[in-house]
Amino acid sequence: MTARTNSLWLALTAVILAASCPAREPAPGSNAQRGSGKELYSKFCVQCHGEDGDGEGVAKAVFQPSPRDFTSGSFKVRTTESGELPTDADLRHIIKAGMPYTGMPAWPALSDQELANLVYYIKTFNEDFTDPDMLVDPMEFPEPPPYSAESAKLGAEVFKANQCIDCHGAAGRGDGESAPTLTDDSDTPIRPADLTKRWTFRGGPARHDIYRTFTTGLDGTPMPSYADSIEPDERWQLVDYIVSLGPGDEPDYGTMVTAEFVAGEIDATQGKALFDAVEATLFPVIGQVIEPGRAFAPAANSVSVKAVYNDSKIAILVAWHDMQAETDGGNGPDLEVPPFDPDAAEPEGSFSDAVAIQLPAGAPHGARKPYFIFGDKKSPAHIWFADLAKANEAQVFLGKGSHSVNSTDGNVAVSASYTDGEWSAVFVRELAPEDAMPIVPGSFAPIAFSTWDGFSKERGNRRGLTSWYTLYLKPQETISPIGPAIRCGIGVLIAELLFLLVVRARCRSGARLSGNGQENAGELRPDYPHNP
Amino acid sequence: MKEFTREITTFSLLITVAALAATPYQVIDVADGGTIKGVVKQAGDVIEDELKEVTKNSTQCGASITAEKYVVSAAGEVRWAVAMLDGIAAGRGVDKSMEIIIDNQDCRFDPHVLVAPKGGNLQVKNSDPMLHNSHFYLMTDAGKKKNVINLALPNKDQVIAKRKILRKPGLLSLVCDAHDFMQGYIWCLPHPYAAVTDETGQFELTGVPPGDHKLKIWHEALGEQTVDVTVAAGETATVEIELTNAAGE
Repeated sequence: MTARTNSLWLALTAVILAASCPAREPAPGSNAQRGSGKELYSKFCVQCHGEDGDGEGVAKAVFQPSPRDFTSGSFKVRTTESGELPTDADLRHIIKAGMPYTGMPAWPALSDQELANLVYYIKTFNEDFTDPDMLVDPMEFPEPPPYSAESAKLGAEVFKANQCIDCHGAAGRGDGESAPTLTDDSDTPIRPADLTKRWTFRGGPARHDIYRTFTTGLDGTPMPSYADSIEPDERWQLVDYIVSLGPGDEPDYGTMVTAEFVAGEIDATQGKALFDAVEATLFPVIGQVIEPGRAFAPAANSVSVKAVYNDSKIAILVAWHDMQAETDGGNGPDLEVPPFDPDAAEPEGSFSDAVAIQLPAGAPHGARKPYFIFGDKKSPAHIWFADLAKANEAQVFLGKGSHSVNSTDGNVAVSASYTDGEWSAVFVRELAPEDAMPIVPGSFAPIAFSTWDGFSKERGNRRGLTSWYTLYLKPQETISPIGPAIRCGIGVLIAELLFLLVVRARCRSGARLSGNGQENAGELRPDYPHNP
Repeated sequence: MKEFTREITTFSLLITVAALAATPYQVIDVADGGTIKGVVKQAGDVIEDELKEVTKNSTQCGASITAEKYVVSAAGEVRWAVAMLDGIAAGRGVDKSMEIIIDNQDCRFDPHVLVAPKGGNLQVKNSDPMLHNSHFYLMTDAGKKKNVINLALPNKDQVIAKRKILRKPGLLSLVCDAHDFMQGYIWCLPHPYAAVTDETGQFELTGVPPGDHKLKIWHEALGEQTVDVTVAAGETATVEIELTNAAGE
């Protein structure tokens, strides 16, 4: 092509561009840049997002939410208005940061140039990225004002007035009236964010991230843009209210739940009140992805646990957030679940929510714990199971592995309730029954948890679970070190006095034998000068 | 530098080709325009409309709403069908300043179906005393839903004007995620030759340039049909279209 035709094309392009008043000019990158981006894409992205960028990668089936379909042009985290294409910086940002609690990992190791090239390539999947008419400037985002409790309080009103409750629930736990009906762009069920767990927010937990989400909405999801409905100052109040709902940017996961001694009666029907003075420990819940019936995206992502005990009983409170209480149908740890098949139809009928505590069935063999998925032949596990369709009835199962989970004797009581998007189940058992591992004050016991969400058809081994953690019963009377220390001190003093007496007695008898003890002593030690 | 020039050239070429492929609608003076008048009917037994349970805000919206999916008279006349000229390249201009209002009222979109010009002045309103969100999707040829905009309307009588909803022509599906039983449709077209049928299945397109045209009839459940219509200067052409339920109900 000659220089003349080149300039002709350039001029023509300029005319077209000028006529359409673009806010941003397309930046498709060079052939080399897109080529390099394609290489990165084929290496790191294609497994989930697919050869054609349509989100139909081989791994798609195991992800909830599904991998992004780049051909759609819809992106959740942007600085542009609802429905607009993201900026290159938006795309680079989300690749680098990843999306918490989804299959999208962070890619901190990619260089800026690699990120840029990847973005050039990703943009080739949607032709709108080359259409100046479809490119708009990012919205303006003010500097965040400082957080204040007063602002958070005002934000509670904004939350109510804008009916965030409809989806996110009165306590923000993602349990609003509309929550079970929500779907994404591809008509797949999608859950509203649990506002008490900022670390799960797809766009990030920071205050400016939350502000951006209100402003732009999350495209591809039901989360709309409030840019035309809530004034910026009220948006910041709402941000602060959401910040006030949770413990922080990061989950405060623990590894041990400490049971405190209580003097009074312990009865499951006392419910949560039993635990008022006790600290909770948050344990992460993950999907059971090893045995058949795998749950790649369990509904629960953590359980909060408290425990108390008295002379004869232990009570353990397990609480977790659930979008909706399913109390129809039934559930059980021993229900058969077919091997994972993304194309298989969900089973007919309804499954209820359920929860279980798992402990070793007998005294452990040294440091060996039962296999964490329902125990093993050598070290079986006891599963205290509560089908929440029968909120006050617990069953005990003996697990010798996933294929051998059978109902067994055991006297465990349970009392469960569901309020504002949270299930609370109180389990009570004797500390040392004849037919189970005794739980001994002052000692540590392995403990694990399972949750089943009926809405997601979780049942049997398709469940959320934790690995083994520790239950510690803090002894009722802590032994004070002061008493023994004093006793020991007195003993040493007496021994020293006795020793002194003996030495003095011996010295006296020695002096008598040699006449003048002082002179003799001087002669015996000639090298030592006399003290003046 | 050479490579850069080549990049620019390729890119410019792409844009130009794209621009030429989508020949824009041309506004011309139609002094002796004709009229297309017609009626849309449903073949076979009259299908009764569906009732949708109102699962939320039923104090405001009642226990159920009609889906307005099959609004068919005893004589088989179909309401909420859209009659439009397909592929017309030139004709009279459209009034883009006219306010086109889509209202959220009693948990339905009012009107259920409307036609609007590309780039038109669309106003999204909420007449209900509770949160609605108006989520617009452009339906692609591949049958996918392409997100256009998702507006929160938490306040009663709130109106949000957004021309960009009508930025691209085609069929827009309108849903409310807060009330998943709500459904509306907008046909966005670059020309003014489109109309929604009334209770008696009637429609009228005026100022049509004389000549041969393709008339497309669309209905959300009864499908599409395209017929040839010849319009003579100053005359009225009448058509009767019978739609068969695609599902064979």
